[in-house]
Formats: sequence, structure tokens, C-alpha cells
Amino acid sequence: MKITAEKLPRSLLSLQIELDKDRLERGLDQAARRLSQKYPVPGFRPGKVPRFIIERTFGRGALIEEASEDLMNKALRDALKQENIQPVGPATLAEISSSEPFIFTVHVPVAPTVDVGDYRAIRVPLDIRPIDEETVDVAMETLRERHAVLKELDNPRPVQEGDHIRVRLDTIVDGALLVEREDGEAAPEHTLDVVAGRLVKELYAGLLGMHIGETKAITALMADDHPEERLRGKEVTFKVELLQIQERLLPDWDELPVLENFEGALEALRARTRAELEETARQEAERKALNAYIDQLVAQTSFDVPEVMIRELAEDLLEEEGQQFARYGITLEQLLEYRGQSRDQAIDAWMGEAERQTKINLAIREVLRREGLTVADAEIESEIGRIALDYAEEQRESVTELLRSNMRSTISTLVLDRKLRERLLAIAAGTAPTLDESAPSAPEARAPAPEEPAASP
Amino acid sequence: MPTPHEIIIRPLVTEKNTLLMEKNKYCFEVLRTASKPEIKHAVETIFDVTVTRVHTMNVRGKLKRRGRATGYTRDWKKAIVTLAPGDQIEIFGS
Repeated sequence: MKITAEKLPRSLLSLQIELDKDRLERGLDQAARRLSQKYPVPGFRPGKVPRFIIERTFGRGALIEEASEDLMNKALRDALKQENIQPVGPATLAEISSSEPFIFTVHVPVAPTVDVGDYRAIRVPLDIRPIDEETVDVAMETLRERHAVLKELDNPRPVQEGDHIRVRLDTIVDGALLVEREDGEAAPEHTLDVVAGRLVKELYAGLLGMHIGETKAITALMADDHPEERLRGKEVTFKVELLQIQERLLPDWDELPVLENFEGALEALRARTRAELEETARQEAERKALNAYIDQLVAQTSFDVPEVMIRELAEDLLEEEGQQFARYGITLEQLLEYRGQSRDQAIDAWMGEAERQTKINLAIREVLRREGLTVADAEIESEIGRIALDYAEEQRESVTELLRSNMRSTISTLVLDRKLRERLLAIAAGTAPTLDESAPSAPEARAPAPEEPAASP
Repeated sequence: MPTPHEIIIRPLVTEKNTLLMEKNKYCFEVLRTASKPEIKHAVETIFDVTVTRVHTMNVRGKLKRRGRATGYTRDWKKAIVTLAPGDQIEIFGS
């Protein structure tokens, strides 16, 4: 077998393979047997027709055609083994240049070359949002609000600050209802807390002093950054009919620790709330920094990604989308029919996202390789112990057993993912250990799990 | 007298006859009235080979039924021709 390899762009390898005559003849013999099984020839039992009769009956061309797929598959497999090539996707047949001698060319996608450049020079400052007293106040107020009790009014009165009200509310923008409804259908009911800052200023002011049964049209100018796009910067009229007023009774501050099942005084609860807010702010900053680092990493990395790799991921993404809809009883076929898309069009629509994710994964994998991060058995054991602690005491033993046997590789990936995040953040902050110091020294250190770390943003 | 092409009606290519070809024997359907010498002459003339032996047999027609009606396919004559070593007939394609 003669093999000529040539590198093509986008990590494709062009392999021109010329088959030996013996190999071709063996392939043709097998193809003749297959043809004689498939197509009966008068005078012969199926599968018993000699090759020369097959050649005379169907022609040598048909025989070569029948043999070619099998021949090419086997020859390609042998060629990949012989040349020590690891394909990352299915090969595509480029051409069959000659049938005798049998020469064909295939394009094989191989692992892309990824150059992450000086990834250790990327710096992203960790910008942690400061937690001031006002933020803690708002959080404490939210905690208190969670335990508010609604009480019917003893004596009728107009709406006051802090009331919980039930209204029929129509929102009119540009002379039309924001939410259309059938003729004769009543306006939808809403419940509102009449608290300054929670409602649009004009609506809040308009609601104060209203009586049950009263109807009012309140006009307000909406902010330019309103979450509802149709309302941004528009003058909106709210047609309100007040149906019910309830008084919101907030617990005393001193009762809050008990209501929160917190053992300690209000100040201690406040300290815990502050610590939680600070932890959230830190996590948020780390997530942003990690995303920014990955964006910069991907931007400075040069890729040579084969199309087939991106396409495979796009297919997976489409399948994932299909599975999400399957939960609601909608099949992927129904979804595509509704969208008026063919499967190929739907895959094409995912190609951009798939390319982005592929690049992130490749860049991160390369960083992981260069950093030489590994997971030691002791680390897996410690993670298993930590996860088991989340379960009831009587379940811990069986959970530990399950995690040790079936989910060891998942746990390993989890630990590796966490170590990778920590390392990327350290690199971004300029505090990462030099590579010699960080090289794994534990004798039981394991190679990184084959799964990709899920560090995509 | 029939011509060689009238005597040799068609070659018989079957699993069994393919095996016979390894012994340099070729089978033909021949004219029912043809004699062995006539068959030998016809094969030698048409295929330009030397025939060393000729065996013939009359094959009786098979009983066939179509619904209630029964009948027979035609009787025919088979000839097995042995060629001289080194000769072969291209029409069989071996």
C-alpha cells in the first residue's frame, strides 16, 4: 500500500492511498461473493457464482464499485495505523483517481494545532464589588420582607405606603394595550406592594390614596433602560381598578433571627448576611474575571480547527436543544417543522456558537496541558467525602460507594475543573506559581481526565 | 445439413458446469438431431479448439402446472465437450 500524505488548511490531512494488486483482488473476490448473494444468477445457488461469471454478468466496473467502500475503509484504517494518525472525526472521500491501480484520496481531520501564545502574561484584575452598609440594609430589609404577614383592613381606608393591593391593570402604550385580550375580557389582575422604589414613580404616587372600586388612569414616562423593550423611553398609561387592600405587617427586627432559624442576635445575622453578600460579590467578580481571561485567551490563540469538529459540536448542541423541548413533549422534528428549518439549516444556525465553544475548549485544554494539572487519588477521595457530607448520615456509606465506583471519572473531572479555575484566576491575578514549582509531585497523581473541563463561561 | 451455429444452441453456464470447466469440459445445449461428430465439428469450427471427447444426453422436459392445466417443457439435448489440454473457450470467460 502506497500512502502519500499532504497537510491541508484547517487541520485536514490529505491521504492518497494506492492499493496493492493483491489487496484489490482480495477485495474484488469478497465483493463478488457479496454480489452473488444479493443478485441471483440462473444456474447458480446464491453466493456460489464464480467471480469470472460475476464479472461477465455485471461488469468489472460494478464489481469495483461494490468493493470500493469496503476496500477504502480497510485501507484507510490500515493507513491511519501505519502512519500513526489520530483522526478527530470521520474522514471524507475526496476522489477516486483511478480504479486500476486503485488510487483514492481522503481528507482526514486531525487534532488542530492550537497556539495559546504567552497565556501566562494575560492579566485581568479581580474587581470585587464593595459591600457597603446600604447594600446590607437592603438585604436585611429583603429578609424581613420575606416574613411579612398580610392582614385584611379592619376599617376601610385609602391606599397607604407599604400596603399590598390587588388591582386590575391595563398597560397602554402608543394607544394600544401592551397585552392583547379578547373583547369583553376583563383586564388582568395583579398584586402590587405599594413601596417607594419598587414601582414606577408616577404609578406609586397615583396609587396612594385610592379607594377600593376606584378606577384611575396614571401616565408615566418609562426609563430608557426598561427591561421591556416596547416600553423603553415611552409614555405609558396604566388603567388601574383597585380591588383589594391588605396591610403588610413586617416582623420586628428583633424577631428576624428566630424567623430565619438563626442562632444569634440581630447583629450576628447582619454579619452573616454581609459575609454572604461579600462571598457572592467575590464569586461574581471571579466569574467575570475568568470569562474576561478566557475571552482574551481565545482572542490571542491561533487555531486551525477542522470544520468537522465544529459541526459535530453543533449537532450535539442541536440534540441538547431537542432534549430540552422533549421535556415538554415536543420532538426535535416538530420543533424544526415549526421553525420551518431543515436539520442541516438548524445545525448551520448552531455553527457560530459551536465554533466559539470549540475554540474555548481547545484553548483551555492546551493551557491545562501546559500547566500539567493533574488530580491525585487523595483529592478525589477528599471530594467524595465532601459530597457525601451533603447527604443524611444513613445514606452516606452507599453514596460514597456509588461515587467511588460509578462516578470516579466525573469526580476527577470536577476536581480538575476546580483546580483549573483556580489556576486561571491565579494566572489572571499574576499570582500563579512558576511551572516548575507547580509540577505534580505526588506519586499517585493521575493524568487529567479525558473529558473536557467545563470551564466555558 | 445444419450449420455449426444451428447445432450449438447456447452454452450452459451453471454451478455444476463451472466445476466441469476445471476439467476442460464445456456444456452446450445442442440441436436434438445433432450427432456427436457433428457437435465436435461445430465446436471446433466456432471456437477454434480441438475436441477430444463428446458426451451427449437427452434431457426430458419437466412437468409444469399452471392452475389445473399440466404440461411439459420441451425436451432438449445437452452435450459435454472435452477439449484438448491447453484449449479453452473464451465465451465462458474463465
